[in-house]
Amino acid sequence: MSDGAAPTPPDGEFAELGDLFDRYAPALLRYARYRVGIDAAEDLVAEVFATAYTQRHRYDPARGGAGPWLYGIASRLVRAHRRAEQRALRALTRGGVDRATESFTDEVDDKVTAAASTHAIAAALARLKRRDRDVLLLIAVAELSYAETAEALGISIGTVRSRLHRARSLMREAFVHLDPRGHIEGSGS
Amino acid sequence: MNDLNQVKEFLTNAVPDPSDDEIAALRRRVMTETTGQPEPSRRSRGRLPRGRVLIPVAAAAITGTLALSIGLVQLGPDDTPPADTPPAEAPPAEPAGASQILGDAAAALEADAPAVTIPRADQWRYKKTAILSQAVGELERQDWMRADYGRTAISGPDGELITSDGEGTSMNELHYMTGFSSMVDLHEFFADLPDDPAATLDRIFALIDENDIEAMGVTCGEGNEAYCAEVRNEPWYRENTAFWLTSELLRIGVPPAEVQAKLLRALGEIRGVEDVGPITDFTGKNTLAVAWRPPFQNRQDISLPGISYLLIDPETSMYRGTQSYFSTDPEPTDEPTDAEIILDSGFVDQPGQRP
Repeated sequence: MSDGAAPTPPDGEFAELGDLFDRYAPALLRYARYRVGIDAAEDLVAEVFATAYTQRHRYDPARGGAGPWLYGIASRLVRAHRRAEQRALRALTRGGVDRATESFTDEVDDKVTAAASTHAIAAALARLKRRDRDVLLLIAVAELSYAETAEALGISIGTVRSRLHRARSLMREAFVHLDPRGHIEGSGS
Repeated sequence: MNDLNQVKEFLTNAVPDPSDDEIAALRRRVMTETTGQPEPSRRSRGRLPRGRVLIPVAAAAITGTLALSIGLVQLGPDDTPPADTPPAEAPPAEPAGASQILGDAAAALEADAPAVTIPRADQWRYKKTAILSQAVGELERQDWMRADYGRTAISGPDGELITSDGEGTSMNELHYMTGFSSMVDLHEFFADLPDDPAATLDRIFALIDENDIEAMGVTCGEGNEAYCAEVRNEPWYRENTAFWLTSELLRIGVPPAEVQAKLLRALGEIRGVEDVGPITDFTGKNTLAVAWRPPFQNRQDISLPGISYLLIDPETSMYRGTQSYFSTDPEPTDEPTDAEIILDSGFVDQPGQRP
């Protein structure tokens, strides 16, 4: 993992649960908040560690370290939290839109601009297929490498590339419709 | 700023980082819910009183890359499939022992089988287990899971009941891997199992296909995807998954005797399932055991790091749990590394209750 904050456990050993938590939980919790929202994130991360604990015999350090393994579990569990994920995406999509009803000042204009950008990006994220979103967020947010993402999701690097390409293409469409100030094209601003 | 950074910045700005207090609280929760203790024991693994574990000669006879039931398939060190990789060898003659043991257990269960009942969504499945793990040593655990997977509870270190919410999910279980979204669905599946063992096994295979279930992971180097796909498509790979999934259905659902009988008979239909018992489980009780072994030895392109035994109580013929022997060393371990032994189970109306 590129942030260097999550070292691989000692060779050939599954780190004790507490150590594993200390290494990975803060970043996992942030990731989980992005995926399923604040309310469900703690449940998801707790479940990740519980799953890791019960399935630790399936952990193989040779496959890329505990980080990708834990993110892989988290990504699969997101499927089970699909309602929370949908809520989180809807919340992101709605974020800031209500501000458009405020009086039109420069300050509010900036807020509306930010809200419009937020809406566009969140809506684009929500439109992605979940498996494409998994890859995009593991790389963009969790900062896993292609190889680590492949290990995490149990797919080939080629599949990672194709999914990431598809996700980025859709995200770029959203960004393309934003002008340099972040306005949505055709919004009249 | 590229689009990946924009995505990250967007989410970073939209969602606050967790505080140190929130992380600390989550740590306490994870430790307690997962191990039943606030902190995992860091001492070397202490053991419950028990007899010597008897390892069948057959296990020791498997040399080189140990052929075991649940594990990982890895290509060689350079991730290059050997050019002369042999195809999966023809399966050995089916050992009569596994089918015999499983069939005998099934017959005993069927002789005194209560009617299958499907739990209500608001009922709780109680399970008391003895757990052996490499991370925390040995412990006993009591947990409750609501049949709709919406809440879980565990008996804490001082006997207090610790409950937690789940977003339609469960703690400490891998229900999502079995394809069932609730204990109700799982037991409806149980109730609908046919009497014919082959037909029951077909249902297991259908679950695998419908839910894209894999007991193993396949590690592929770049450019080896086609080879890995071939490995996944080899019959033994799917058979191992069937053994693992059937074990999980027994472990998670702890179904009634009639269903257990059907699942045990289906296990006997899986190629590679062998009688390896009797053994002594880590709690010191003598049990019958079966395990799945791949239909080959010494395939240089495949490495499986351990074996899991499915245990059957010789007195009740009921599924007793699993006991595994995993090692990252080239030599197989003869001491169990992981186990879950079911001491008691059943459905109750409230967490904290026992059958």
